Amino acid sequence: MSVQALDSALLEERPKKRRRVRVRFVVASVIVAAYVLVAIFGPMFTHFNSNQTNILDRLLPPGGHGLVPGSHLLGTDQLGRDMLGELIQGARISLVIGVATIALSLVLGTVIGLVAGYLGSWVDGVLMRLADVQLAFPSIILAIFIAAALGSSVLNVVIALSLASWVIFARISRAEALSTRNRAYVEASRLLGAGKVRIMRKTILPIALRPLIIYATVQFGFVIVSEAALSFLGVGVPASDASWGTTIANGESYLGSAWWISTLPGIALAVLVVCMSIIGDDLNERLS
Amino acid sequence: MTNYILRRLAFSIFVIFAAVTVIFIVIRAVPGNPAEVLLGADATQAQITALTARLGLNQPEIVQYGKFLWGVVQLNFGNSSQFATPALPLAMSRVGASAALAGVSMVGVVVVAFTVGPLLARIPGRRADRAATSTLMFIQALPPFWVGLLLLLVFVDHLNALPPGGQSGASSFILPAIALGFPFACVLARLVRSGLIEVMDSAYIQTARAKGMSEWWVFRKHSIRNMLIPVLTVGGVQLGLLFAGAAVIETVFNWPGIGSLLINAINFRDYTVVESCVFIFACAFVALNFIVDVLYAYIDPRVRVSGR
Repeated sequence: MSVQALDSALLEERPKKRRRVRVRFVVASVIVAAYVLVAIFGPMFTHFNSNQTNILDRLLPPGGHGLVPGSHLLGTDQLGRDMLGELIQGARISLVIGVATIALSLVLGTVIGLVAGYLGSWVDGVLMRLADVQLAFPSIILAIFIAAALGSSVLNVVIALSLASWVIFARISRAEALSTRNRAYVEASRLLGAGKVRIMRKTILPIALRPLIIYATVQFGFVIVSEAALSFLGVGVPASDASWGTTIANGESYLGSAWWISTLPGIALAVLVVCMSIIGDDLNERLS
Repeated sequence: MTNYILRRLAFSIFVIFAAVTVIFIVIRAVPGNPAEVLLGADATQAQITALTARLGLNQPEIVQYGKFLWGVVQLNFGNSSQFATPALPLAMSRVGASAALAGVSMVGVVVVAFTVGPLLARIPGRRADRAATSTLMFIQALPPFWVGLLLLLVFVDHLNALPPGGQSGASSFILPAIALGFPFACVLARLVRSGLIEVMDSAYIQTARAKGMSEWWVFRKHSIRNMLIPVLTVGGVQLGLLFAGAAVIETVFNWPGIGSLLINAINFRDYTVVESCVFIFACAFVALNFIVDVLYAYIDPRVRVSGR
């Protein structure tokens, strides 16, 4: 809820230098694309199953050779699971939850926002009060509460995080609907007999799409950090699914002796979030 | 002004009411009978029926909701199943530690932001400014709970310089306060920087300078106040998040605050304590928002009339 509000406030502050911006953007996009590829195809190339425990090879440092043939490139955790396998599994979970949450909250928020903005009157009043209430409630606490009550599963995390992030999309699409609903071409469409749904879909939505996509990118980073935090606290995805947050939590007791268990998934998460925020930032600068 | 304050107050109360309703609905959405959950796996059917009746779970939802609301008004959430004491006072007893941590963190954040921000605002667009702004953005994106663990790894496991966790004297505040506040410090520093750059360019600052006002007076009388508007808007939201983020950071540092109590209560399925903690978080968040709204209206008179 926070990050986007900031980014709109911070919109003007970035030093403008075209070339620099593009290099950053390309590098960040390539890294994100690499994450996606690794998440999709990674499991085919690592012969270690992320769930396969091997007590003899536990706590191997990165590069260490276990008793089982083949090197554990990034070491093993406290149960002898291959860290690289766990990181790949974590990337899958993070990306799946991130995409699903953004998709769900984007659709939910956009529909609510368009309806509120286009219809106006009491519908707008009710829906926007709802959004205000949502904003006035700390979203991470709401997510923890919902995830804890519903139990741990990927779907429940998606539901909890979507409920915590639809408001920003509703606000944006409402603002766009308010500013376009009396434009000449919308009026024309109305005079030609288009229904409310058609007008919203064909004339207002395309205008709203651009800012919505920018904030979806920005929000993505927030969602995957929240997922990791929920899993770290033990109310996110089930422990068997090896989310980055779960792995970080597993390594907590081994910080002094096996630093890599908590550190590596954190780096994986941080790099992805930073890249997403760079992409969101640049899109913001370029498109608005 | 009074009118404005009253309107915001009414909204705040409405939000707390809504939050309580959400708590009620979510707790009822828990799979299975709460009575079974409370009694544990080896309860007999008779015990479950008895507790169901005692908790009023066999009554219609609307009656349960009414009773729940009445309980909240009396600040009574029932007993903690884990400690067998009233849940809300138990949760309240942990607020102090959280508030102390958030307060220390907040002071650090303000000091850092109002040092770094103005420094960068003096050299806008220079290489150092660009590098620093990018760095701030980078740091801001790091997951706080992970940074907390890294701080523990470096300063406790390797350097052995600071206490490992828990609340024990002033030095125990350092690491959790950093882990809690660093994203906020980055955001605020960037806001102060951009706010100052924008304000310093404006015509009334030129006028003030042309009048022969000293730089310090221009800063005090004209720039600060105008710069504070965006800083406060975003700052208010962030302050609430700082408090909410405590749930995660307190777990990392084993801090005896309300956040770690909430996580503990969730793990032990102690729902009355969970409800109490979420209620307190909601109230604190709403109270902070209210204070920020009022401050906002104080600094920017336009807010008072436009309303929201």
